[in-house]
Amino acid sequence: MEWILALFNGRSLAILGAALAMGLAGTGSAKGVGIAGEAASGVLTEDPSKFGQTLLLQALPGTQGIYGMIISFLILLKTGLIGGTPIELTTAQGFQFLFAALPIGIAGLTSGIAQGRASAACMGLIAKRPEELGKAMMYPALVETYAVLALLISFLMWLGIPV
Amino acid sequence: MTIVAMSKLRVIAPQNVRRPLLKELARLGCVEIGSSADHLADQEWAEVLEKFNENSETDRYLSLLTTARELLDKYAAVKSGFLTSRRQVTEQEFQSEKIVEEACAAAEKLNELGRQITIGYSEEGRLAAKRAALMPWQSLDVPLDHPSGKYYRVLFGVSPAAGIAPGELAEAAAAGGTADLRLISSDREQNYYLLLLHAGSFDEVMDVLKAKGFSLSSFKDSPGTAGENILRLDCQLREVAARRGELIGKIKALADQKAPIEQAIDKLTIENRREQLLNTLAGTKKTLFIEGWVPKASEAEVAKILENQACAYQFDAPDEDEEPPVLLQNSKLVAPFSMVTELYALPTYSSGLDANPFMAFFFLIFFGLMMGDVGYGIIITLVSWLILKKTRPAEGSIMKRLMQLGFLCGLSTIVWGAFFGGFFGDAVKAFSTHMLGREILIKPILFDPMADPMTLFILSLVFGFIQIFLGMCLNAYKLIKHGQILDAVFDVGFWLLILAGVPVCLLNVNAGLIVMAAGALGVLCTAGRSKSGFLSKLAGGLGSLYGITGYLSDILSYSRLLALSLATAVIAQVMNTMGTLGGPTVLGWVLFILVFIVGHVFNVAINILGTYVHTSRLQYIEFFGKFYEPGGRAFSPLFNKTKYVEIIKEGK
Repeated sequence: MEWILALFNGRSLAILGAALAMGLAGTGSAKGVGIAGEAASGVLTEDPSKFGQTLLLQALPGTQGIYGMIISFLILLKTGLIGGTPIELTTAQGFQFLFAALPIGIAGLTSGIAQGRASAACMGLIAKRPEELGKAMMYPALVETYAVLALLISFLMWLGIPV
Repeated sequence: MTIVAMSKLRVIAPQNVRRPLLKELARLGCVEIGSSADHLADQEWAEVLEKFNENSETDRYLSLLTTARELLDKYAAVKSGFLTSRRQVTEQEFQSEKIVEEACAAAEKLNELGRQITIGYSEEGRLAAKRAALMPWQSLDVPLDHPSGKYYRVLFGVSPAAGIAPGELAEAAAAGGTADLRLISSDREQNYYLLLLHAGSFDEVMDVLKAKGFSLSSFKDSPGTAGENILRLDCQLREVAARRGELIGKIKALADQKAPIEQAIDKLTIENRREQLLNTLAGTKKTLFIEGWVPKASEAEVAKILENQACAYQFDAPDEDEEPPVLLQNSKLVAPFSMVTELYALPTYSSGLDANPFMAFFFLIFFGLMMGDVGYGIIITLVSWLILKKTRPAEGSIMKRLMQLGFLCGLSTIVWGAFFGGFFGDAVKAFSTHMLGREILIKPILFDPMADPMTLFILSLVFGFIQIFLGMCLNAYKLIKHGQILDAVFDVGFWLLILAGVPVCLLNVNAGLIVMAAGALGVLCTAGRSKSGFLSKLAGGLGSLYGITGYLSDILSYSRLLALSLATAVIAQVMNTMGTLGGPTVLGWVLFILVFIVGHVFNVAINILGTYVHTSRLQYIEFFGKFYEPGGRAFSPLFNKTKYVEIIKEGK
């Protein structure tokens, strides 16, 4: 039992939370940007002058990873793991940080992939009608709403955790 | 502020003035000319008019000039600066026929040089292929044109590398008759042989060898050994390359012709467009029928031109069932924002409602709020201003409006940054604490969203409430303008009451609830009015009332203002934390400067994209969704569109 208690102390749980926020959301973005990138290179074989436009669309699913990093960073900051001395956390507090990381972790993972697919589909639109970039950007952006909301909730949870 | 009122223009012009007429109209740039030949599908029209045919003279010169320009780009590229603007020419210079003639002459010369270069390349290809074919025989000292004697033959041949082995083939040759087959060389595809045989056994030996995959090679016009031939070919290849160098040198000497060629391309493109336009018109033997749209305010100017060219013309108000093209007229401040609206869709002419001024107001606020940083604001403003200054993009072009938009949004970002106390995130605090050893804080004018996010959350929802309320008011305005007063009261008015109850609640809960209840009752009673039967009416009312969830989610959608504002601030904080990790050491300073520059540039770039997309989304979905009627066709007048030169208009 001793080692379980030692392992599941507050600090490791908080670190697990930070790891999940970044890891899951980062995976979502990586997959999303990858999917969009594959479609982009297809468009570019036909018309290399569309590099800028396709790059813009490809960058859209990249934000989930950044949102994950924000929450991850904030958890590390509040627990004193960066920019200060680490503070002692109770197991309950550790779990609270872990839970606060879940919204952006989960929503970041799924919305990143979904947004990547929407971006990839919009590449096809750009291939035929490059002047409609403004509209093409809106479809992936609608997916991102849920990552933004998840970020917001994760942030509010993080803010409310007493340390 | 408004959608410009349009007049329908119909002109009958004498055919002989068609070119000067269109030239003058293009100079004015406010007449959209439709294709009057479309009427010819109608039998009655077709009896009077016929399609006009304009001979195109510009096509040939345009392709000549374009090819010449490509050649100059390829062989005599001038290194241009990062931001360059179009060359300025006066109208008089632009119209000069002499420059076009000179440009065409230069283009002709350039194309001839280009043609010779192409010939050189194909010659080079031919020589290189010949050389490659001789390479396997390089080690052989027997001349390729060695004469065969009365009793013997000297032959050359190949067999596929995947086929029979050279040793076996030689044995087969010896067995077939008096012959000696020697392997000269081999590569991945073929083995190369020298075959000496007695003239008498030629047929027998060849039959044996051919059956085993051997075939003869012949070398035409190749006196001497393979090595001598290769040396000769190398010499010729060098000559070809040297000649190409000379030709490219001649092209480079014509580099100064690029400016006139580009100017001529612009001029001829305009003329070409005019010719194409003329080909869409209908006319009689001596006249042309022109039909189009003119902004009502420009009627007088257009009339003056038409009178000067002795045309018969008529301005009419658009018919009920006609959809004139849409031109938005906004103040200088609002005009750049029309780009955001146009990316969505233009409003219909009949809706008569231009949402730009309202949209611009919120766009500016939201963008600044989400970026919310003095440092980033300064960067955005400066970069936009620099690009505007250096490239002088054409009036009304996407680039121009985008940069004007950037300039204004940058200013807004500075203001919000001051409100929130952000200067490259918390750069001042992080820098002073870790690098200078004492903490310096900048006080925000309003509050710090990182420390007090709930205040910004409420502020975001308040902005959302105001924008949605305004959107509904605009819808009511539109309905009233079209005479649907009852619809305005029932479908919008009651909802406005429900929404208005929310702020009233804050002052007095009971009063607020009464207002909301009154609104809800109104919706319940009237929303199903088009249905028949009491129960269906009630069901319609209830269904409509359920739409309250839509308003709720619309307003909550504005919480993204807070989320993205935090995103900018926290990423900036991450960069500053990473940058100051080294402390006040030499290495620490290097790290700080590097991370500061790279990190903040990254943050600005990624956040401009995110902020722009989400600001636009709030306009398109939450705001426009309430009232906007998309689907207008953009007004596209005939004007002198130039790609390479900027025409400076002289006084009229």
